[in-house]
Amino acid sequence: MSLNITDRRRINGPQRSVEPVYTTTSPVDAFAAGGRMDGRALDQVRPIFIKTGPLDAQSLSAAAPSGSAYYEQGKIRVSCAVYGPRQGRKSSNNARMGTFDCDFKYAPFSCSWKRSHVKTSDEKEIALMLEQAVAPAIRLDAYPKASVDAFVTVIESDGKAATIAAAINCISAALADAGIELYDSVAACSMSLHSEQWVSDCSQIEENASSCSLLVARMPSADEVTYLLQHGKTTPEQTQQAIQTCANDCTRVYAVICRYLQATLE
Amino acid sequence: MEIDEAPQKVDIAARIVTPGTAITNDSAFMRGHGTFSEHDTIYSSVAGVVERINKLVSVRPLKQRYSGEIGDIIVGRITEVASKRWRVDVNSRQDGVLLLSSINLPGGIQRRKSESDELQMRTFFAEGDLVFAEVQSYFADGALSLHTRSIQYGKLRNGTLVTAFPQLVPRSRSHFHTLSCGVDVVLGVNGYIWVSKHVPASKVEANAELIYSDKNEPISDDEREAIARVANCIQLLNRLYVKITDTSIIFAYEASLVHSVKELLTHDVAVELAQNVMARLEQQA
Amino acid sequence: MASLILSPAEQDYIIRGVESGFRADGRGSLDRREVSLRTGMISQANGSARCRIGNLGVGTDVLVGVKAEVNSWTPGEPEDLGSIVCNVECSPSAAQEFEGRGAEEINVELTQLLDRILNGPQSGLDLKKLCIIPKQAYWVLHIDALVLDVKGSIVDTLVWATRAALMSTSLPRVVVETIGDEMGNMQAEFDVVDDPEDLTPLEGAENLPISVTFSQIGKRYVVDASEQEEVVTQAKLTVAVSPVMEICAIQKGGMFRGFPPSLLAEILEIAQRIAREELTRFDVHYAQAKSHLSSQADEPSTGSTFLVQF
Repeated sequence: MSLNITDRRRINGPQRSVEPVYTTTSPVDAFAAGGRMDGRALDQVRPIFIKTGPLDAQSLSAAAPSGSAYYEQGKIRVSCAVYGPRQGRKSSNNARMGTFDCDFKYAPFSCSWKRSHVKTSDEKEIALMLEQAVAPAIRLDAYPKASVDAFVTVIESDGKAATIAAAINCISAALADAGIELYDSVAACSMSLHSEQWVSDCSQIEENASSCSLLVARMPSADEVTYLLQHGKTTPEQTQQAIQTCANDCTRVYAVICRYLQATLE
Repeated sequence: MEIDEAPQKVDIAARIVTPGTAITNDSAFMRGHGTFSEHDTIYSSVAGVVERINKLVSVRPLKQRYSGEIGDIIVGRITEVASKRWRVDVNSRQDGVLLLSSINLPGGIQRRKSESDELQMRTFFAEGDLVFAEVQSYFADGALSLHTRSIQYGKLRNGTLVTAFPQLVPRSRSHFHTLSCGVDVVLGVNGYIWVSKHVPASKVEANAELIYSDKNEPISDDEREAIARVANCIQLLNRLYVKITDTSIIFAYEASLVHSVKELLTHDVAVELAQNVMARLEQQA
Repeated sequence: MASLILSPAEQDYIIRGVESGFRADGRGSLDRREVSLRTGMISQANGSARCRIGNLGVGTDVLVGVKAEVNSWTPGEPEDLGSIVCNVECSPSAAQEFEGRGAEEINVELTQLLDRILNGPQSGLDLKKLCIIPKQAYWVLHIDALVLDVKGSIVDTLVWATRAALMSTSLPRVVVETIGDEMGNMQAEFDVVDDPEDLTPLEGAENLPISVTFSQIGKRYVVDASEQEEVVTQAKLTVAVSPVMEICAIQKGGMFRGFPPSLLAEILEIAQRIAREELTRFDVHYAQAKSHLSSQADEPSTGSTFLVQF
């Protein structure tokens, strides 16, 4: 942050500091050998862990969130709290449907460089993306004039597209935990393009070396793609093929989410 | 008009003035819209043309927000549902008010009492609905009070809205026209114009319950094309600053038939059609 | 985004119309509105363009200015690249709801979208050419877009205007000298030539992608949605395609629904064809804008020319 204003609420560090440069094995070498840095197959998604319910089991006060979830995918760690349905704050034009609002924040220690305390436009945009990805799944017409709010915090990030996918999955789990009426759970997955080969669920290092990244969010039962973001150069055929593959990966992630939710109920 | 006045006062009318220009200091004149008086002089408060009717002096600006007169036929959009009334956007400086007691209710007075709570009120008009109404009176703060007590007024369906400059829609005897191509046009004096499929009046009267329905009639492709053509004609008349009356719309429609509907909004075709219409209007006059 | 409200009857009319292939203004699903494009109207900027998409002088209106500044390199930044910084702002003159902080959300969305298209190899711009002296100084291109009016299809208008602004951008020439000091170390110094006639055009701008936004209405979709059509749009898909038919960015927008995969596949196929048509249309308009600019060069530049000629 190159602001010259001193932040009086915090103890300030130096005006400008940068992340140190490390020498590591580049993933390109790993790919050449036919494997990835962590030994996964090219189409293998990182192992997922989900826990729903309050992080602190004692807090049952009225101010506690209606639902929450903690989600891990490889090194990515995301937590989400869902409040609602509660009285809508804005007097909305549309009194027939509720609203879904999302708040997204990277913790300052979550990325390989130190993040700012203040919400950047990056985080604001991701919040919008999460809203667009998850809102179609919520039965908002069942909650007129009410609002459902989701607060997502990234505790540790590893790959930008993969982290956003993890956030979407985390919100799905939290919404189910809160008992909010949904058409379906939204599952998301990401891929990156490395020299003509699409690789699923890339870590930060792998993503930095890629030429294109793709994020797909899907509702498998309703068979609808609720979010699609592609960034980088590809040919149309590659894109079509990648979207197909990514959508299949989403279905696999969806199965994992459902399994966890069922296990919690039992 | 025979008016007894000194020669220099003849110059007042049709003068173009800017805000703050002195118009006259003859105390025989009354001041109307667009003027203010200080000491004994009437000044213009807007940039426009001076109009004099008998002893009334007013200044009409080129562009002005619609200000309602009693008896105006307008089209408005419901913005809010409140207790026993609706707030209506009439393209004016204040929203108009439509009282529950001013709408057409099949069933009469008894129905009114039971339907007066907000939830029931939404079964008649909800936010976003378009209403065809008449200005009944003013409230103390200048807001217009509307009514839809006649069977021809009420909720608008089966078509699309075109927004025009209010000053291009002159007040006339009738504001509801049925064109020969099967399209109904409602010319709201406030600039909101509704273009829709023609529905015979007999059908409306037959089933009184339907007047608050949100469902459209089935509209065929030909009807849709006719509606789009008329709507585009009104758009181009509006943009090229031609008065919008049933006559000018019919002239524009007839001239437009040689072009496809979507071409009507392209610059060259629009200019050609507008010139055509103005020529015919002048011929008629 | 729209502050426009439509009654259920109006919405139904539009949706049925789109489903039978006949939109409210008579266009077919893939027909686009008229475009008005002008470049070079801001003399203080290195490049500028104004684009309006709409009919009869009313439409979505975006003004883009490009300013180039020299920045000193700091450790942590790439050593031999220039950079691009985007910013999109919606002016309250476009809609009442953009007053104060009302436009914050949409500003962020549009800025990030533009940044996604422009930052990276997919933009076609050669950032290496923007480096003046490696590890010392480089050009930063500040791309500032001002949205003056919104009548539907804001993303496409924004990308058109940005593309035209960058294509008409020219940078001052820089002279680099290597000087030796007393200890025999070689130091590079640069000097920006302050001559308004001595300019180099920005390289690679003609490789920039163009965007096509598809709006799903009912069971079908349309391109270049009008304001009313955007109210009934359930989901949007913006596809950015480069002149060599590569897909540079895809972004879904809209909160109400997702896309069924079959519709998605259809849209991606059609996107290429439409992008090709749009690029041809763009070239025609850009050439017109350039010739208009040169014919105007002899006229005195007054405030009226900015408004009247558009």
